[in-house]
Amino acid sequence: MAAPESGDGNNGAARMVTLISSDNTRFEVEAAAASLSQTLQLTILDGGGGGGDGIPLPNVDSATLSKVLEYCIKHAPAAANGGAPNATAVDRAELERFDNEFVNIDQSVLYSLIMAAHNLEIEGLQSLVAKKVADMIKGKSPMEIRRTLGFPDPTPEEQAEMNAHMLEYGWAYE
Amino acid sequence: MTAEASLGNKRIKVMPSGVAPVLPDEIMTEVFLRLPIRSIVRFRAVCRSWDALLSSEEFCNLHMAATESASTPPKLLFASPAANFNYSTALYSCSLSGRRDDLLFTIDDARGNFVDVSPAPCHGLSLLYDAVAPAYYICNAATRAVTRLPPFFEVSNATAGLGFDAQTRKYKVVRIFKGRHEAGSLYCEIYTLGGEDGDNWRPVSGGVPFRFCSFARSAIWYAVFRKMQPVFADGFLQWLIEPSFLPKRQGLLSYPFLSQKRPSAGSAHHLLLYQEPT
Repeated sequence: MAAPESGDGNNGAARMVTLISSDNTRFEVEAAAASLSQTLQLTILDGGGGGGDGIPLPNVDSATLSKVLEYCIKHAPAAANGGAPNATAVDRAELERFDNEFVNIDQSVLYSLIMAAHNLEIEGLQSLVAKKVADMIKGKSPMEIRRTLGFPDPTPEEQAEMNAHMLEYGWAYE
Repeated sequence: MTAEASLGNKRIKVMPSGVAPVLPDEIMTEVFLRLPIRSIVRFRAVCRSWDALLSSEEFCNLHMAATESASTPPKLLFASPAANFNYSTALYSCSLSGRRDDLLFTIDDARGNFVDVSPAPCHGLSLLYDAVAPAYYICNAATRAVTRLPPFFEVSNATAGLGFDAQTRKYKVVRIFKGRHEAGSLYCEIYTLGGEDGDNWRPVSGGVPFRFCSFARSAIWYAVFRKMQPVFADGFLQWLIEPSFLPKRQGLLSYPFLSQKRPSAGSAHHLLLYQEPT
């Protein structure tokens, strides 16, 4: 029923949009995949990003954007099915395998990914990366967290507070 | 420490290796919501801003909601005499499938065989009653914090329950009891956790209305002799009433925690409102 030029999937050639990273690399991607981003969705619905225009993304560099798009392309078919209520168990297992593999990456990549997912408002990716970061930090001690975040060494006063906390909540440190 | 440092990717690259950029609070909250309570408690010691964020009521509510929607398997909370014979009570939590019980905390001077735990936690908190002291305790099984409530008028026939007022966002313990000497008199008093009235029990002005007295007596009877503690559900603290008080019906005495809310009266359940006069 939809007019061919506004259809974004099953009828013939899929509509493509162009995204431009902060370092001026152009990515051509299916509109359905890019629309996983709430931020981009409105622009795309308005007909933006087609032809030679492209949508500039000044907050996302090309390495991060290609990673983000890898996720979007993989998840777009399931998202088009409205969260895939009728997806087979195999499909879901395959997506899960992909997700696990996808976040198995260097910490610095993970951090730029979480920022990009947040800026582009890609819900599934936001929660996937947040879960990964949570898994990475959940077993760490407060001191390890401080070092990871590059905080200065605690002042004697702060150190005393940290020790007192550890005494009071010993069970949380086991 | 600024959020901007993490926004531009170029800035990330000049960071010393092994040092992660600081993420905005909004994103950190998303991460924290996916952490187990053990990590949350530990991370309060990282720095003051984390402590403020992780201790905030807003975060606690979000975390509770996230845990509920994640449908984590339920756990059993139970009290037992501690192994040291020192008149102390140990609180354990165990998962229904697990073989091991986790000791949460012990309360000194509370005698295990005489300690009742409220049937279900109310917004994360549980009410404990030590019949020997006697004393009430409020505990948080997740953070293992315990507070002993102030002394109250001691009688043998009393019942109390813990509820949560969603409007004032305060926990309240409602206690109904029979007077010691006058056989007919019933009293109701309230303790508000962190309330403006201070650390004490406040009698409900006007007492128990006459028309509810027989129901309240039945609620006390059930609680004392059948160990049927009231349950907080749907905005009401509800006591079961001895069926003979309401022929052919099941009965509940309920204490409303939201003044504008009305219970639905079903055919099987006859709900009685006992409203706190304000």
